[in-house]
Amino acid sequence: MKLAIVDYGVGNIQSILNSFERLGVRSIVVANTTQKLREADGLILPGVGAFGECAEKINKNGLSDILTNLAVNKSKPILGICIGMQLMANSSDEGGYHAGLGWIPGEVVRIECDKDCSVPHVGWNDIQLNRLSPLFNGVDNGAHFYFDHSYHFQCEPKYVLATCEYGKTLNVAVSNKNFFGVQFHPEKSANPGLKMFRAYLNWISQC
Amino acid sequence: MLKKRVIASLFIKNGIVVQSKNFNEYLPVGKPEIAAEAFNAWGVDEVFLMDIDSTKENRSINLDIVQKVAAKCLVPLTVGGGVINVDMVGKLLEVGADKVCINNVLGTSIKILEDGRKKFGAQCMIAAIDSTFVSGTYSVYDYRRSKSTKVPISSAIKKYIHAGAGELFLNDVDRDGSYRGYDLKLVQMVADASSVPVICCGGAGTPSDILEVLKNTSVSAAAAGNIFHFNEHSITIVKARVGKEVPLRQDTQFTYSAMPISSTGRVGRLSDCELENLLYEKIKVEKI
Repeated sequence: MKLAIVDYGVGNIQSILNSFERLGVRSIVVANTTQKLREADGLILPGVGAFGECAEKINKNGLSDILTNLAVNKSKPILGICIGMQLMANSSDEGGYHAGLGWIPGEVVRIECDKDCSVPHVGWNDIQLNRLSPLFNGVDNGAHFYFDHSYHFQCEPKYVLATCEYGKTLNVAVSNKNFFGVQFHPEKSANPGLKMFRAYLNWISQC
Repeated sequence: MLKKRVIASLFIKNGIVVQSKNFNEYLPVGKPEIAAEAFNAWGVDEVFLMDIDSTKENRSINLDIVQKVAAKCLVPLTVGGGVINVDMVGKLLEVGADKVCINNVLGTSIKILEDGRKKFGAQCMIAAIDSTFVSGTYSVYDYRRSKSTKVPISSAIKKYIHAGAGELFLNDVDRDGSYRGYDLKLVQMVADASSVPVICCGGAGTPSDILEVLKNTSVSAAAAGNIFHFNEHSITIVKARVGKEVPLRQDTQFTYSAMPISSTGRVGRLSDCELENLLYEKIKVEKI
């Protein structure tokens, strides 16, 4: 099985590589060309930083068209992490209006908090699994994941796989068909993160 | 619910981890990647890796060390030491750091925070504040010159957050390596003044010190260096003690949660009755 991490000049790619290395995955590439991405059985869309900058970079070099072709037309499994997940929304409010890829209907908006919690939401939070999903196969309900974000994904409940409590309920994992997105950083979430990656790999191999 | 964090600080001198006292006495511990690996297995929430010589020697932290530590680190890794511009931030993130801690250069310019926020996002820019108590007020300490800069802590906090710091790392110079516990007054003052999460460091001598600061102040995380060294399962034991009163993430396979732990961090023995119940219980090895 082949895995490709989409390289568009941002993102914590090394830590994702380290995680998959731990899981014993050998054939993993960091790629931004049609050919290499097409060869992969599953894709990972990383991302850290600001939405606007990430969206701009992914639109450059025609990478968003390549990804749309593979993920929408060819139904290749794709997992977005943090901003990678937010990019799958229709739009984001971060630093002005930015259009997303529109793969999972929803909007990315700033976390509104009362005085009990501060933005950004940084640290370990436990997630509640809303329903059975191949992405969380083997992950315990209430497992802790590492978060670091100021904006969150708002969408219809039918797309939500998991939530966490921070001032109010935040959607932290979403999916639509072959698109998966997680707000937290599985590559930085110790064993629960590895388990989630393992579940993703298992799901890809069944596709 | 968001948990408070227990962070292990690895201070590096000449490529090896050291215990540090008052920023001027050092005791060697060992290789950073080995410490990182152990701390990860023991359930640390985050790791800080700081090269304490690099600023004085006008160089940045050795990227090779960062890469080795990052490979063993499955929790967020923050790297600091001689980071003076965004190019260096980029290099560190490339080899596996998740956040970068900026310290000395902020005394002269905060441009790195502004540039870093634009390029990499505020979440990976951590501003360090070394605090010292001089003539009745807390002020920023300049470790290069080993004296106070007379800049009040409160004005530095505002300036750094405005420029783009995503978190603050508060290091209490006066208590560094003193094992006297955190300065709760200072920590609460900084936490109140800050709109971003604050990590406090300096002075932890026992698990009770960490418990005290996490329970009685609104700080997000407590970092400690010295007390985690030379003790097997140090992080797990501290978290077991603190976790009895403060919500923490405790998902290592062994949590010590059933064991009595003294305020100094000494693990007691289970009662005979409980030990008997453990007989023949098979503990499954977790497979991922």
